[in-house]
Parts: sequence; C-alpha cells; structure tokens
Amino acid sequence: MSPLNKKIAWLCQFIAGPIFIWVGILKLSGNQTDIDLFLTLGMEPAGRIIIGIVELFAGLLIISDAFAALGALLGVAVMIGAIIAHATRLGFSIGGDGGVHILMLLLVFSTSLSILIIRRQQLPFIGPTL
Amino acid sequence: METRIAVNLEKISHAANASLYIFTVGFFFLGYFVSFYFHFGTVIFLMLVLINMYFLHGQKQHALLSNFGFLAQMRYIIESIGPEFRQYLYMSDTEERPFNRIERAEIYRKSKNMDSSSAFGSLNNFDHREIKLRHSMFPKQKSETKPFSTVFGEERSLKNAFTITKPMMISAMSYGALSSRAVRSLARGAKKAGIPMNTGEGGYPKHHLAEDCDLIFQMGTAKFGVRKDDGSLNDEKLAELASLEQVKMIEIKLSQGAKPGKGGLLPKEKITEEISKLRGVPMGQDVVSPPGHIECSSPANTVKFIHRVQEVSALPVGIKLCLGRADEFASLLSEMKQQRVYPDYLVIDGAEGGTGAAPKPFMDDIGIPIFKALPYVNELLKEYELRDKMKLVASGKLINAGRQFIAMSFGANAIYSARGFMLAIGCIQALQCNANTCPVGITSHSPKLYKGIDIEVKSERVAAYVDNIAHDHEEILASLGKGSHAELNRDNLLIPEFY
Repeated sequence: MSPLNKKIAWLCQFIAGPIFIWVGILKLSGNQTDIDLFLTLGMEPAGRIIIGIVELFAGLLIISDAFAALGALLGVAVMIGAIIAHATRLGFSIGGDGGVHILMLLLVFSTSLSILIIRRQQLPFIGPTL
Repeated sequence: METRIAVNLEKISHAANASLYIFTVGFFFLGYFVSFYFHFGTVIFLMLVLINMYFLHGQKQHALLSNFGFLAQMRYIIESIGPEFRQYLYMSDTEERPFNRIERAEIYRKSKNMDSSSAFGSLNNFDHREIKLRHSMFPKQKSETKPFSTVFGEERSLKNAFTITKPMMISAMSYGALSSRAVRSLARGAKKAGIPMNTGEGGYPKHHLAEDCDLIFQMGTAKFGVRKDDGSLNDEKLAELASLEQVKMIEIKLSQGAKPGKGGLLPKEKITEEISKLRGVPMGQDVVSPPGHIECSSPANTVKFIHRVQEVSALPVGIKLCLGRADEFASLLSEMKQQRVYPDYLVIDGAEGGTGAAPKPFMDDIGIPIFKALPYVNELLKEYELRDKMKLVASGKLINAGRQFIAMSFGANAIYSARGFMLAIGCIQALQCNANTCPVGITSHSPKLYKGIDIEVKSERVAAYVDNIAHDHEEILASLGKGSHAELNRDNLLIPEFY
C-alpha cells in the first residue's frame, strides 16, 4: 500500500465509518423513517435490528487500522442489499428528500468499495491472494 | 480395472463456479417474490460471484485460482494455517526443527525448576549415527568433582582477566534483534545466575547495561556503537565502552554460523526510533552490515586488528567465526604465530546456529556444523602449538548438557547459547523473529506484544535454567569419571565412523 493510497483509504474510512455507526444507531434506536422503510420491505423489526447491528459493527471495524478491510467488506454487502431494496421495492425518493438518501447510499457504497480495494490484502485468509 | 476412486477436481470446481450464478439468481427471485430476507443470500452469493470473477479473469498471479476459481482458495487458506496445525497436532515430538518438542520441553521444565526426568525410555533414534558420551565403569562421587572455572585472558596475564564459574554464557543477541524487555530479562537473569551476557552487535548496550550483569561487548562488521563514519573502528569510543565496569570482554565478530560471510541483518519493521539512534542508522530501511570488517581483508591485517583492539580495550579480546575454508583458518593461525598476537578466546559458531534474520541459503547451506568444525579447530590449534594460547568457546544448538559435553569433549572450554535462553524466557518457536510479530514479544518491538514479558519472572527462569544445566554438568562429569571439565577429551565420545 503506497502512502498516497493509505491516505485515500483513511479519508474514505473517516467518511464511511462514522456514517455506518450513525445509521446503525438510528436503526437500533427505532428511528421512524427506518421503521417505515423496513415495514415496506416486510422485515420489521428483526431485519432492521440485524442490519443495524451489522452497520454498527462495520462502522467500528472501518475506523480501525487492522480490520478496516473486513469492515468495508461488510459495508459493501449491506450497501448492495440497500441498492437491491431501493431498486426493487423502495424506489429512489425517500419521503420526498429529493434523492439525498440515495446520494448518501452511493457515497457510502463508493467509499467502502475504495477501502476494500485499497486494503484488500488485509482481508483474513483470502487477502494474500488478492 | 481402475479401483481408485477418482475425484475430478476440475469438474467439481466448474460446477461450483456455475452454481454461484444459479444461487445468486435463485435467491434474488426468492427475495423478490417470497420474502426480502432471501436477499441476504443474494448479497452473499453476488459478492462471491464478483470475487470469483476476479480470481478467474482478473488476477494473473495464481494459476490455480485462474483455472479453478474460488474453490482453489481452500488450498491457500489451509496452507496458511498449516504451520500451527503441524506444530500443535500432527508433528511428532521428535520431528520439529530447529528444536523439537522434547528439546524445548526440557528447557521449559528446567527454567521453571520442574522435575525434568523422563519415563520409560528415550524417544530418540538409536541408529548408531549419533555421537554419544562414554561413561566410566568407575564413576566419581559428585563431591570429588571440581567446580567449573575458566579464566579468559590468563594466557596474557591480563590484569583484567575474566573468570567464569558456570560453563554457559548468553550468546550474542542485540537490542534490536530482541525487545528491550527480553534483553533486560536475560541481563537480570545473567546477573542472578552469575554468568556473562554478550551484547550482540547492536551498538551501545543501553538495555544490557541497565541490569548490571557482566557483559561481553560484541563488535560486528558494522561496528555499531564504536564506528567512525567510514565504518572503521573509533578507538576512543571503544576505549570508553571498555572502561565501563560491566564490560568484561570484547568480541570481534568475523562471521556467524547462521549467515557466514554475510553481515548482520535487521529488517526495517524492527527499527524503532531508539534503535535507529543507538545504532546510528536511518529508519524505514533494512540495516545490512557489511560482510566483513573494513580492517580485516587478509590474515595479516586481521591479526593486527585483534592486537589493536587488545591494546585499546585492555580487556580479554576474542574472535567469533563460523569455520569455512580450512586453509584460510590455518593461515590466520600461522599469522598469529608470526606476529605473536593471540586472541584471548576463539568462538567457533556452528552452521546450525540461529539468528533473527538471514537469507535461507545462508542458513541452510553455508558453513561447517559445530561437531565437525570444533574438533578440526582444536586439532589445528594443537598442531600450531597455539592451544594453550587461547580459550575455545563453542556455539550452535548447544542448549542441553548432553550436547554441551560433546562440545567440551571436542575441546571447548565454555559454551555459548542464545536460543536456549530465549526458550527459557518463553520462546515458543513461532519462527517470526524477522517480522516484529513474535507472539511472546521476545523479538518484537510492539508494546502490545512485549508487554507480556515480566522481567522479574523471566529472569528467575534464566537463573533456574543455568543452575539446572550446571547441576546436569556435575552429574555427567561424575558419570564420565572425570574430576573436572579440563579432563574431558575425545576418548569420552563414541563417534560414528562416517563422521
């Protein structure tokens, strides 16, 4: 990992990590918008709690040095799920926010993917072959 | 008729690769039409598909992954955990290298003052290919044996001659190769046991000095701690170091068994700010010492250099080397005779010696092993009538009393061990000394790893190890029917013919 890549990775980590932690806490604390979204998906409350825990866990891992890649892998997985949800059931405008929710999703997805690509060799077991 | 059950891994892997796509699509439809929960499966399989596509079509480094996809990853995963499995589960008690489980366990027990007797019989092979000690039909009583004592520098009637009263000394391990706590544990243990410790070639021995034990200052080829900018010896700095009360002897390292003909190597991962200051080297790059001393390009100037160090330090001065070409060694001896300059001691390091970091061919294929080199050197010293001019010290896997007695019967006056003492302070032979990741913190400078070393506890283990080895020495000496170590000779040995 070159010094430049490391800086880019840390920049992405400081963007994605706190967002994951924040949205994870929102889901776990029963934020009304999230409850509505998960009701639409038919996953309320178990799905919301599971995703909330995964997001919180991913966010904490992302802001670490040693486990950022693993956190980013979890983050990318959650974001792929979110994209599927928006594409198939939720649509792209949430509560008339003018697409802010989707932009946020894409921002977190792209930063998590960047961390995963830059730090891929830190992944347990498969890292050395990537 | 073919009776073997053949497993066609190629077909299995192709089926597995194809199944990833099928599962992804299947879970997607289930998630779309039945329950969104099925999309957990969609996400997992979609990610596997993407990673598998990278293995099959993206990366070019691993042919196995290009041909078989993600199932081939099993090989790398299992391979990566293989060493631990082999060490803990599959390797027999006598199989591991450099030290097998029995050898390690003996040191652990001795250092913890536990009963180290064994039951039922030896687990070693008795195939007449190993050197054995011959006991006497008329063993002595332990009370009839003389306590061990060797005086370095007595041949030159040095005012600062140095006496050791236990047969073992702690061999060269620098701060850098070892962590600060490991160095201090060994140094405090050496003080408790009353043995000297070699500083290694790591520059000013700050941590070694901290525990007030007797020290042998080692001057490596880079002369860290006593060098001028051009890499030559700085006499003032050497005199200053030699004047320290704890420094009892100086050792010029010409070569070492683990990497003969190559200078010391400290990987950049292990260079902290403190080490960089103590050695006077930059951080962020490997420190590779030159293969030889700048002053020592021929037997003549090597002997002159020994004389210079003796004059400047006014202490017993030894040289350490791993035997390579016999003719070169012989010419060094004849040069000593001609110049009438003799080192006070000579360390013969066997090729099986250990190190923190060395290229593999140097460890495996270069240098003469100790039980081949030592008798040769001893006989050559006698032939040149130099045997009474210097002491002979042996090193190279001499961690237990049995091997130490073989070395002493081949002519050694004292024994150096490094790894024996590392095992005594808790080394588990994880073989990571070169990577700053030593799980017990002995060779790591990460505070998270060396915090587990309690200097007081570990120093007690060093002292117990030395005392128990000294006890074995007394018993073996009596069993061989000898009154002192000085009476040991080749007649004590059964040496296989091929040797």
